[in-house]
This record gives sequence, C-alpha cells and structure tokens, in this order.
Amino acid sequence: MTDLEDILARAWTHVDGRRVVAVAGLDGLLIERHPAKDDDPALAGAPDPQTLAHIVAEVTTLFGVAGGAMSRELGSPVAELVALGETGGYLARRVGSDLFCLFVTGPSADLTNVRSEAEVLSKDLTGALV
Amino acid sequence: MEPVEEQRSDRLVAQARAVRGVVAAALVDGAGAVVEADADDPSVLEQMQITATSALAAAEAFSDLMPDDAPPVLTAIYEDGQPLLFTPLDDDMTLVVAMASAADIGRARFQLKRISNG
Repeated sequence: MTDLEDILARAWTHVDGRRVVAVAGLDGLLIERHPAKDDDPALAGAPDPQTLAHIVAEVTTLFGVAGGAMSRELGSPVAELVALGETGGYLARRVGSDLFCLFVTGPSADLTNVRSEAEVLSKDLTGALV
Repeated sequence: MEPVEEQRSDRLVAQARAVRGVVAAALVDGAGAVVEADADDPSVLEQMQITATSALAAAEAFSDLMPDDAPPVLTAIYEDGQPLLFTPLDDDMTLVVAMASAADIGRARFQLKRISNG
C-alpha cells in the first residue's frame, strides 16, 4: 500500500456515513480512492468507478467556476466546496495548487465531522505529496 | 550501459511497475530504442515499442508549440488496447507505461510525475 492509500484509508475510518473518499487532480482526473478495490463490500452504495470519474470532473469544473468572481470577492481562492442532497452529499477541499480531496457521503454523515476530517486529510496529503 | 545508469533504469522501471494499474513499463531513449522494460505480457511491450517512435515525434512537435518548450507528458488512448503514458525524463529518456484501463490514467500520471522528479 502506498502512502496515498494509507492516508485515504485513515480518513475513511474517521467519517461516519462515508461512501468513498478520493484524491484527484485539478486536471479533472481521479488519482486514488478508498476503498480502492472495485469488489470491496465497503463500496456498496458508493458511486461506481465511471460515475466517480464524472463527479471528479464536475468538481474540477466547479473549482474553476468558483475561482472567478467568488474567489476575487473573498480575496483568496475558494478552498472548499459542499454539495448536499436528500440522500447524501459531496465535500471537496483543495490540496495545494493542483489537487483536491473529495468525500462522498450518505444522508447520515455529519457535515461538521466531514469538514473537520477533510481539513485533516488535506494537511496529511499536503505533508506527504505537495 | 554504465552500471550506475543501468541501476537507475532498473529502479525507474521497477518503480513504475509498482504503481497500481501499470501493466508494463519501459525506458526509451531519444531514438525510440528500449533501454529497460518489464511487463506481464510481452505483446504489450511490443505495442509500446512500435508506438514510442511516433509518440516521441509527436511530443517534440507539441513541445515546440508550448510556451516553455518543455516536453509534454503524452497519453495515448486506443479504442482497443491499453492506454499508454509517455513521461519525459531529464536526460532525453522517456518512461513509457501501459495501464490496465483508462481509470488508471490519473493515478499513473500523478505517481510517475513523482517518480520522475525523485
């Protein structure tokens, strides 16, 4: 197991209601996810690999959109995106200038917990990779 | 090849092969000749070698169009067959890998960038 997989696995265990946790590039490509194996029973309820790839591409676009007037108004780049629905949601947090981490959660996830873990994950990834 | 260069070539190919989803890896020189290679399936290496010369020419043409003139990382995706990733190294060598599927491209690009910088 690589550092990257270890880091994602650790984040995964700390979030209740999680479906999948991933790291991706701001070029729109998924780099790694946890659980990593397609046949892992823990992936039940998570987006299938192709759907996750599409979600990553959409989040990348959203970071691009949020990098315009929204970031200028804030005075710093938008670092975190949250999208919620009735059956769950997504939280993406930038890691350095060219990566982001992504939590896909179910309806039982506590957003405060997810945000907090995303911050920890972002720091872990920054320390290990950036 | 000098022993030190050979060691480095072995190490680079082994590191590339250790990336999940990479089914073959080869180190190719500026003329397209394979310096070091490893694959589960030798026919994949053959395909990589055939493609390498054209890919290197394309990389050179693209680099002329880039503002910083740096050789680009190229990804070749085929209708049938494994995607190939060409990562330029700093000594006129290129690390070529074949991936099991397109879903492995992001991981391979990211990890090979780290390997080539290391």
